[in-house]
Amino acid sequence: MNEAPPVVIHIEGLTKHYGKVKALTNLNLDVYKGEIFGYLGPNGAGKTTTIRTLVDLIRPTAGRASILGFDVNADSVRLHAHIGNLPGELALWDHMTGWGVVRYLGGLRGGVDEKYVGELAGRLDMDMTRKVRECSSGMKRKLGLIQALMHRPEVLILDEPTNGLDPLVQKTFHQLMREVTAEGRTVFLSSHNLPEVEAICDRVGILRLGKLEAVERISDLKQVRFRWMTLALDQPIDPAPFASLTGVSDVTAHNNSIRFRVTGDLDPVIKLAARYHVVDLSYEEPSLDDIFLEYYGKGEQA
Amino acid sequence: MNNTGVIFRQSLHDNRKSIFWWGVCMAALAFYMVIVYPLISEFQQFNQLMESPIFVALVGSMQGLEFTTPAGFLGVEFFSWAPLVLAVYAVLFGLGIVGGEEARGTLDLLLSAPVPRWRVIAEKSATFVIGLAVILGLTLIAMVLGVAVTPGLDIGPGMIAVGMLNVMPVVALMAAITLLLTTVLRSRTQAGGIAAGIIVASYFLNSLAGLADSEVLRGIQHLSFYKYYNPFGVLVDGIEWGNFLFLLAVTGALFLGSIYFFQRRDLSA
Repeated sequence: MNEAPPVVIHIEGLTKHYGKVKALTNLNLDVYKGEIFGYLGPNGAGKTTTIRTLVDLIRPTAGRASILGFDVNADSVRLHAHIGNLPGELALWDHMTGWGVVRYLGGLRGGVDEKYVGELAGRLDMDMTRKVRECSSGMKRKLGLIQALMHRPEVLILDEPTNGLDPLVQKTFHQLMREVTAEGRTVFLSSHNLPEVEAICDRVGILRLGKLEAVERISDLKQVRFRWMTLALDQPIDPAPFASLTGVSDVTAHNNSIRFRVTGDLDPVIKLAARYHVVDLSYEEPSLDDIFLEYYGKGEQA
Repeated sequence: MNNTGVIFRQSLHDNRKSIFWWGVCMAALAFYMVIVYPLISEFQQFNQLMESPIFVALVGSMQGLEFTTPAGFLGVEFFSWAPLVLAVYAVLFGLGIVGGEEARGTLDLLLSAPVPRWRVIAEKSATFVIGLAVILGLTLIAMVLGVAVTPGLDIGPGMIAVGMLNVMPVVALMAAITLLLTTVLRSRTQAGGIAAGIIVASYFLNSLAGLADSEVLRGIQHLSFYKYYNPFGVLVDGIEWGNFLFLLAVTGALFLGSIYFFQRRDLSA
């Protein structure tokens, strides 16, 4: 029997209210060693509030959180030696060069491995001699990633890490994250870039209006959720029998084809389809976009 | 992991030009004020003028010291207004200690490092003290040079140094007021405005209360921190250590209050 990997991030009843605004409500979550955990939600869902609480920039109204066994508030200084943080709204010291920034922040961490920084800068195609004020937003983001990674932290907390990065650099970032987890380190990243989450995360938490709606493995999430099915037939048919099946919805018919959404067991659909002459069948895995909309769609109807 | 002094050194490096130019300007002003002494000392009428209510209201009571004496002259022409000029430096620096980094958003990265919040305040405040010492040091050099080339201005470098030292607590107090306001209010605009208001009000409260023949006003005068700063007698009698230490104690209390509030509050996003 496989033992569950150790919990690295433990969040218990975490709540943050700003007056009447409930930014985060009773958040409970465990993130395990060596995984890439994607924290998904639209703007204002509470992703940044969670991250800023984990880094002790803001204090919870209720609840607690620990990382690597350190309480994020009471043991924040000791904890920060073990984490790398990339803020969502990254601000750097404009008058410094890239090297200036990493030397300053590295100095606060007891020194900086300049060879490793140089290696990271090379892989991310970052000119470290340029002053921050002369950098594009993408370059600043790269510098933000370098400072988060430079001390090889055990836990990386990244708020929208690929915002403003071009696709090639995004690929390098994905590769870096895989290398990080291959070394047994853990990544907690927030994103609204669903293909990215799909590409690199092991599990995902979906946050909505400050509440964690679901935590699923990426693979499970795809399996338990709906699929789109399209049947091409030899003649037009009445879509009503399909629409009446349990788990089938959003049925549309066009010429000789019929398209619908299936949730759960496929057997009734296959048996009904077998009554017709099926020329072609396509079966689409749902994208996380679809799943995402599914969650939020439910919320909007509620 | 020893990271003590990293923020201090960076802050000193970032502020070096500002400190230097403040020092140069203050030094130039001090030098200019000193070398015009021979022109002023001839006009004994100034002594009557300085006792008139309007001048007492503007610069405070000279406590029997004559304007045309070297100590009286330097008291009026430099040490009475030097804290007001340096108030600009104090308020700007006080706003920047945490307010500047917080407004720019760089505090998020700084505090993601293994550094306690109090150290950010402590190390940046140390930069302020060193900066102020450098500014007053340059001013001292200029004033000593001015005295050396000015006939009739018989005052030793030691006493001028004592005068400069006397300026430090009152200016540090202004920075501490501003720092406390930024940690409590978070809005730099509000904090700067209120700090400036307190400094100006304190100055005029002290001067006007000195004029009034009212026990109430004289009582209120104790609320003004200028009451505890003596720009005139310092070059004759030296530092009034009770007032000097009182100003330092209040500064220390405000500094600790800033740390208390900053440790507990959320950082602005």
